[in-house]
Amino acid sequence: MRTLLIAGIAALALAAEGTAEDRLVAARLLAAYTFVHSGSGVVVDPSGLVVTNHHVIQHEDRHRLEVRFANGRSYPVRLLGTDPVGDIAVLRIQRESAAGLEDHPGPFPSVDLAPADAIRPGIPVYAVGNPFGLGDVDSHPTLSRGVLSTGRIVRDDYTDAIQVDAPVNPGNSGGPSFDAVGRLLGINGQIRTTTGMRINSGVGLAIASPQLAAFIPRLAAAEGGYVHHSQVPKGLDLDRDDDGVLVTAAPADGPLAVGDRILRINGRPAVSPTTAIGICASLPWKPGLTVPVDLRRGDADLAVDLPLGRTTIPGQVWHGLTVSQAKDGLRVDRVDPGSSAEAAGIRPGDILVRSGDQVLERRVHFLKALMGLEIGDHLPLTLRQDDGSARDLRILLRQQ
Amino acid sequence: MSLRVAILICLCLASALAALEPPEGVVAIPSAEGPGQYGFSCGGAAVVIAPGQALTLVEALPERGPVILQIGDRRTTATEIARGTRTGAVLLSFPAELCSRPVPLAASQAIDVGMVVWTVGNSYGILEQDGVAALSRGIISGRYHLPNDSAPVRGRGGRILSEYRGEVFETDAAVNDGNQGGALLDDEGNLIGLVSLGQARERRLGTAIPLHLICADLGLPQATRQPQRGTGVEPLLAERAAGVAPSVALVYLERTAGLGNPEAMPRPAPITEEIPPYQRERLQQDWDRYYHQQQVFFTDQPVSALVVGDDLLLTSASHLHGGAVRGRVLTERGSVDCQVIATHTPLDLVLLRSAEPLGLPVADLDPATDLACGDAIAIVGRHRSQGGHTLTTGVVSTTERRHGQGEFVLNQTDAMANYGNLGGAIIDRRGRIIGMPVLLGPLGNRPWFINSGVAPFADAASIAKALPALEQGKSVEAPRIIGLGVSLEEDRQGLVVRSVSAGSGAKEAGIAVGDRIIAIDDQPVKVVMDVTRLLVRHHAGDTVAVRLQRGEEDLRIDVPLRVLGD
Repeated sequence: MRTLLIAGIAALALAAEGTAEDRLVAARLLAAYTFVHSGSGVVVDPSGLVVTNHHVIQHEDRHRLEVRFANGRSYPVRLLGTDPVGDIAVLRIQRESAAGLEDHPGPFPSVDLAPADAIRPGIPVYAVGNPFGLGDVDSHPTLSRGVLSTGRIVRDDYTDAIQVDAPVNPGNSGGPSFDAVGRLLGINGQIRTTTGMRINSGVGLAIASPQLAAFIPRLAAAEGGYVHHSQVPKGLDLDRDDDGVLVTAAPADGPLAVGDRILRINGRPAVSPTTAIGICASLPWKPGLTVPVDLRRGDADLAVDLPLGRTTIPGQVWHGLTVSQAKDGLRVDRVDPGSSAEAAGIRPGDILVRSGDQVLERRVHFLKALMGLEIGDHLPLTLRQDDGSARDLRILLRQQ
Repeated sequence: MSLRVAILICLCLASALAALEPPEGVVAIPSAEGPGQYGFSCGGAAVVIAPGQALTLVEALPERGPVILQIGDRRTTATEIARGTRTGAVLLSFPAELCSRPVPLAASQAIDVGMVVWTVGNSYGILEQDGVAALSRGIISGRYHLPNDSAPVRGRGGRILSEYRGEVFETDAAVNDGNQGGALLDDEGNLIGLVSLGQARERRLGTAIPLHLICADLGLPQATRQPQRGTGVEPLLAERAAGVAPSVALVYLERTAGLGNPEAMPRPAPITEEIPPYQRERLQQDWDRYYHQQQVFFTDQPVSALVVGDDLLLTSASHLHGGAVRGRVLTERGSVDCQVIATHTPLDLVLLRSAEPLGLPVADLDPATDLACGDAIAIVGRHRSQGGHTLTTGVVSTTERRHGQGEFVLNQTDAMANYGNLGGAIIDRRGRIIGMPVLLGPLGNRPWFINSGVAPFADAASIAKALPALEQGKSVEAPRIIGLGVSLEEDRQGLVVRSVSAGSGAKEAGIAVGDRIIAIDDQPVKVVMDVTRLLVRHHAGDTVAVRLQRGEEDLRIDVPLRVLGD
């Protein structure tokens, strides 16, 4: 208690002068920041886990990803997992070794995620980033200050978002918004502008820490693949009337009925159909996933568990293989550089003989094997090696 | 518990106390058309001021149809009771039981530059979709009249956002589409104005129509509660700024052509049904840029300048776009001619000399200031209306921003910088003049940095060092680019030399086409930007150690750096 009292007096003294306090906060915030190419990222675990936006690394060669700290030190990173729908990617810092790249043991300066109850409108917010790529040359990130404009909101594909008025510009993407004690409130990723010019207008959208907390462990374990979002079940339609959100169509085998009034989903108020659908889409999907829904049916308030479906990751499926019919299977004619097929060790000239239960004798069999698979799924393959032995492997289907 | 942790906890508690609760009395006026063309609503907001009564502005109302209010997740039709003829304010009535917590009113006559304020509204339809208003904190950054001859303020696609002309409070808090008709609150949550999308063209910051004007216009009783100046560093900076402001002058530069001319960018082609969809987005961007430029670059742009001598003014060389070589300084005694003496391109400074002594206090630059990231600062500018000054506040974002090679380094702040305050004074919390905002653009015809929260500034030490030569009429050009003299190609293994320039350091040192550059000065390089990053701090004549791979051979050679193109 005595320590706290002394600290309180010291804090008040610092606040009177200000500069020391400001610099202390700034130094703490900058330490865990990383440049990720021309975007931004932040270390969320001392072992070297870096979070950024999917769109920051989307068009980069995933085998040449790097992060750079504000001290100018660069490190190679590997992509652990990415979420194209929610716009989060998780990277792992590596180092060179005699055997090639290996995971860096750390420790690195890192930040903690802010708990959900720390997200309160009006609190001070600090953003760190690389606006307009200005730090590409001098390795100095940009600090900006503002307030948290909202609690947790739904904004288009940012289904668990916060809004900040701290200046955020292109290049801040993937970077952190912190609270005053350096806890990560969200990952900045979008802005809104009235003029259409891509510059700050005081409306920065960040993926909120609760969504980060739900997705980071899954992404870290995704082995370079994807994590899917959930979505409302097919056949469920919502509309708005003067009193709120109404169910206008519902699957017959689900817990909702036409005329139900949706009040809250997963503890968050369902103010509009867009928000209700967005909240359902904010969770990482797993088989059997349900979400608690508070609703009013007639005069009765009910709580039900709504089963959720899986989102489809948009884009064209890319396996990286070009095959042609051979005497005893499908010959690999080409393996796209950087593809999952290349990473799995498939080489031109290899013969593919099976995909799960599907025997591969003609090209149409290969297309059959792909039917029903989406981005994020794995294509099982058996290939015959030069010595005649068979080798089983799986190829991650990625976005083109 | 360590002292540092305890301090952080105390700071956290202090910051928590400073937060404003989102007021329930700020409600949405949903757009009649639903979500707008760009995927968000273009509705507005209203402020509940008494049970069953709400204030808004005509610019927030739908063009046709009834006025709907959304209060929380409930919607109701409102009835217009009165409409002001001077302010465009509208008084609405609605069922009182829908909102039990009106927003308290404060007397806005005493509002002054530097007071902490909050904007609360329905920006981009947030109240409609999420049921919560978006808060933004800032200060009163100016108080002036929007002139009657101002061009209408336009948003995306050229839509006119506001036609109000008259006295406004300007704020550096966020104001966006959907805020119109919403609240400008003091730091205790009292209503002091209704947010408008009207803007001064050289400032491009949000404004609000003062509450006392609205009350007078609608015949409502004036509020008597005194507004609060607010807590935090801003009121302190405002006090300091008032002392510095007399040394910030207002200058009209005469621009004749180029980027200073609103006609510089040709009018884009109309967007018609015949235009393929893939071309429309590009065309829309051209239109957005066109309208933006129309409102930013004016030939008679008033700018801020720092008085650095009896007849000397320093401002940003960015203001010279459009071919300006002379102008007029506006003082209380009248207009004094001035002309360009010399420019300093690396620091983006220009020195002007007036035809006669100005009689304004000379700015006291403090070159000894130790700046660091996170320090609170403010930008003091001057506004053409009523001779008042403007103020925006923020923090030092970084102190080592390089925008080229050589010894000149700029600083950067997140305080709002625009064509109005560019060339003004940057002060710290002690009121010392520590720099000048510069280099706002345009870069490649695009005014990227206007109010973006990315504002470069020259520090007082650099300015003081540059001034003597400028006073002698000696301009300083940007250092020329230096380099190895090779063109590089990136592949998956790294950097490959594709050509070597004749007469370059690389040629002299024996670098050959096909060599792989592995490292420079022991720092590994994998992409071209790695090389740029390592060379930017060097000067012509320096030598760097280049490690390269030629076939199976590892080589390390010293390469002199030379000015490219010589």
